[in-house]
Amino acid sequence: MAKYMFKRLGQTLIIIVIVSVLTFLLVSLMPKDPVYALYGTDITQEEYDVAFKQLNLDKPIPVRYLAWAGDVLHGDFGTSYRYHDDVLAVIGEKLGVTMYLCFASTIISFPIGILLGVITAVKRGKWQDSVLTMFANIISSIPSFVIAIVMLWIFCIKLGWLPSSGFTFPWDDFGEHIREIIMPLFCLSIGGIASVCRQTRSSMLEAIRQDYVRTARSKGLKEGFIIYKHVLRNGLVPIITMIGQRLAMMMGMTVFVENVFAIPGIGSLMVESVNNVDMPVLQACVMLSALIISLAYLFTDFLYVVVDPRISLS
Amino acid sequence: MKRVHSLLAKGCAVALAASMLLTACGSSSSSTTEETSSAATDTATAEAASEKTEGGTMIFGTSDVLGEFFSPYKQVSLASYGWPVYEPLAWQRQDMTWDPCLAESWERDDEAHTLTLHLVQNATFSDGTPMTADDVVFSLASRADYGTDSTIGSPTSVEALDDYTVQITWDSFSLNYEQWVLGQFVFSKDTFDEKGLDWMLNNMMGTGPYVLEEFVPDVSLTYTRNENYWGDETPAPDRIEYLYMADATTMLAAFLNGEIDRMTTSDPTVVDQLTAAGFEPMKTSSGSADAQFLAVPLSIDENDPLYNQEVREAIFMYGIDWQTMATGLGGSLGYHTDAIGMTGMSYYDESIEKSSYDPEKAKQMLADAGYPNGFTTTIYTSSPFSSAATMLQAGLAEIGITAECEFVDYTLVQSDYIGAKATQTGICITCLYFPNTLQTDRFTKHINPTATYGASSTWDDQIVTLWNAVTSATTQEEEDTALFNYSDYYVHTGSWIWPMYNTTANIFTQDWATFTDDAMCGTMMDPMEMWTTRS
Repeated sequence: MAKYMFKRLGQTLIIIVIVSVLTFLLVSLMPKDPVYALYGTDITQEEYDVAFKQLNLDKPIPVRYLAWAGDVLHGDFGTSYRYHDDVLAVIGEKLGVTMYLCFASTIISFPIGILLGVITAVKRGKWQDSVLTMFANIISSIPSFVIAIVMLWIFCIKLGWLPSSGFTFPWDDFGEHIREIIMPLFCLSIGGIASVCRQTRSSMLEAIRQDYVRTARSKGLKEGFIIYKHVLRNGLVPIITMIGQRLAMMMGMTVFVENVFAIPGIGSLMVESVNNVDMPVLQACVMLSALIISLAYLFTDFLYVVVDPRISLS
Repeated sequence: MKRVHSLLAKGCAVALAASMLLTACGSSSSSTTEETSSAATDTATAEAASEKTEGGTMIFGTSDVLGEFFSPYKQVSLASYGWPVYEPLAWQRQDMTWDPCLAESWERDDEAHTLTLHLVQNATFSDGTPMTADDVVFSLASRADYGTDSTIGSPTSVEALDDYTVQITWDSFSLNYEQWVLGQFVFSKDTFDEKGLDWMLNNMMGTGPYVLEEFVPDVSLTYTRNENYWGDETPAPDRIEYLYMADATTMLAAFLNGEIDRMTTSDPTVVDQLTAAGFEPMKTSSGSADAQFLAVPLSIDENDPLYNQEVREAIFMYGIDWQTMATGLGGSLGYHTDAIGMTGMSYYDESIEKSSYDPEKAKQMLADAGYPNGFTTTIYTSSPFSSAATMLQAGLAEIGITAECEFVDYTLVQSDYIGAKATQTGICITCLYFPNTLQTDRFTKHINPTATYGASSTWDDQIVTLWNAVTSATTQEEEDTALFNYSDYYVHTGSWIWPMYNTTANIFTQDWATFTDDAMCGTMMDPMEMWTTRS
């Protein structure tokens, strides 16, 4: 187990390095003028030249990357061009918000999705299966930002029931938190519920057809016991794979949701960083995302072992 | 299991019915929106307060990026959200006159090219330290250190003559001395010396009637009363809040929901929705950030059709229906003018409107210039202006010119596609903002022989002569006449730049928030001239 962990952590580090090189290169080659992006297009040529030097843009890309990488190894991710604050401080403020959204959405979408998937599998061919499968297919095809805008229009503009923007942690003001989080969490979770439902149905149907299920039934075990103890347990492995995939997708979906609902998370920070060519922040955000996704996949590997004793990490 | 499924089925049925009901509610008339907007804010009333009401919180929605609270360092939108804490030397009212604030009087010497400011002697920063000439000198002179002194006309010196007198000197005459200087905020030199640039960028220390209570980057700015305010008058609201909303739909939703008291927009779709909901935009005469969209022919190649002045004249003077384009793109806010800038500008005169839509004449002129079958060209712009590019493309097609649209980042438009830096041929669409009707300075900053849009290879000596007349004007009247002639020649004779259409920023406020006419001071606001019944 320890050997496996070290091996995976080593792989994660290599991934992070490759991501950092690619990101630095792509950001540096973006078809944007970072000076005009940061200072506006109203500046004079003189002001432009001063800013160009201040941002070290007169140095070649490899030189800039090596300087940045050296600082990172010392724990210094640099100073944000836009916020004039330490990059880690800028990200730290927003990371908690995005992580809260991602985990809350995952905690909501997986149990509900699994439950609905079990229902559709058990009731295969019946109206419950038809309705829920149709629901899942429709929701899976609608982008989350479309759902976000429609919800904004209905619940905020038309009905005025919910606030359009903002984020408050539950320990600061629970009532306000609930009002603010309903729409963003719904947008983030509904797609996951639909995907997990479909995957669970598929896995369950695969497992239901196995001989051991027939054996269990012939032994006189209760149907509910068979479904949850045998069928679902064996069908969970592909669903667990979705946890890592879902988290990765969530990092992208938060970009849209945070922008629509004005939530100060990593997603909206990344959008602002791209628009303002805030390279240090953008670099750090991308690397952080890569790290989170790698750790999520590592976590799912361990979950496999928990769910299915036949699987060994060695 | 059966019971669970039964309950689930019933739950789904209820949810489906509820969503249908909600959709039905959502399709009702705008009165529902208004009633709901009022109902959504328990603590606000729907009646305007006729008398100044003490207390409450005034909430603004903004898409301006909040942060970097030290404008000498970088030209940001501090004026539009820093006014509760920072005060200018004088407030510029809607009629363009100046009301003293931190400067109680001033005089200019046209011979010596100076502006001398006499400061109030009892102003203090929120930490109690007195504001003196050193702070004003620091606020103005430090711009040279950061390369932003062009915003105050690049003075040759800024010096304190005594504790409360500051003299600014330029190397040449200009009518804009007051315009450059009086609207600038005053920052504390002592605070800068003690705490440094980073602190100044992330915090506020001003002389204004509010102090910064909380700044959450990309979220909000919250101000509370400055209990040590030096002025005789005190503002009405207890708190002022700015909420950052990047998305226009979110801001619209927040306004209709009563979450914010004031918003500004130049998006015709948003304006239509607000007016349909029963809101009317506030009338301002200061222009409040009009935007003018410009078509700039990139005529760097002698063999390119656009190098030919007759071709440019054919296209821009007669070939495109600019007014239709203006209303199509700007809605009720859009209008076309042949003048560079706004129709409210001091130099504007109706006699400058010379273009007319005559596609047959345009085709004939193109044929006379050697292009009877038209030609092919490219329109360059950034994606936010894609609609303008598409309409121009359609207009050009009407007169036989085939244009491809190529979209580049807006920052590259400025650096690679305009004026002396352009390396392509074609037409570039870009945008200039004019904060108020006296901002001829912006016009001249960008459209002079050495500026961003300048240095066209097809210029003649006359343009330089006309520009020299602008810079040597010694009265407003002289400058207005010179600017008129310059703009007229630039647009109609040379067609080196063509005004496509203008849009106007519109300000919408809730019924329970009052802003007097004097509240609006360009992009700033005078906190003494606003109050709310929102508690």
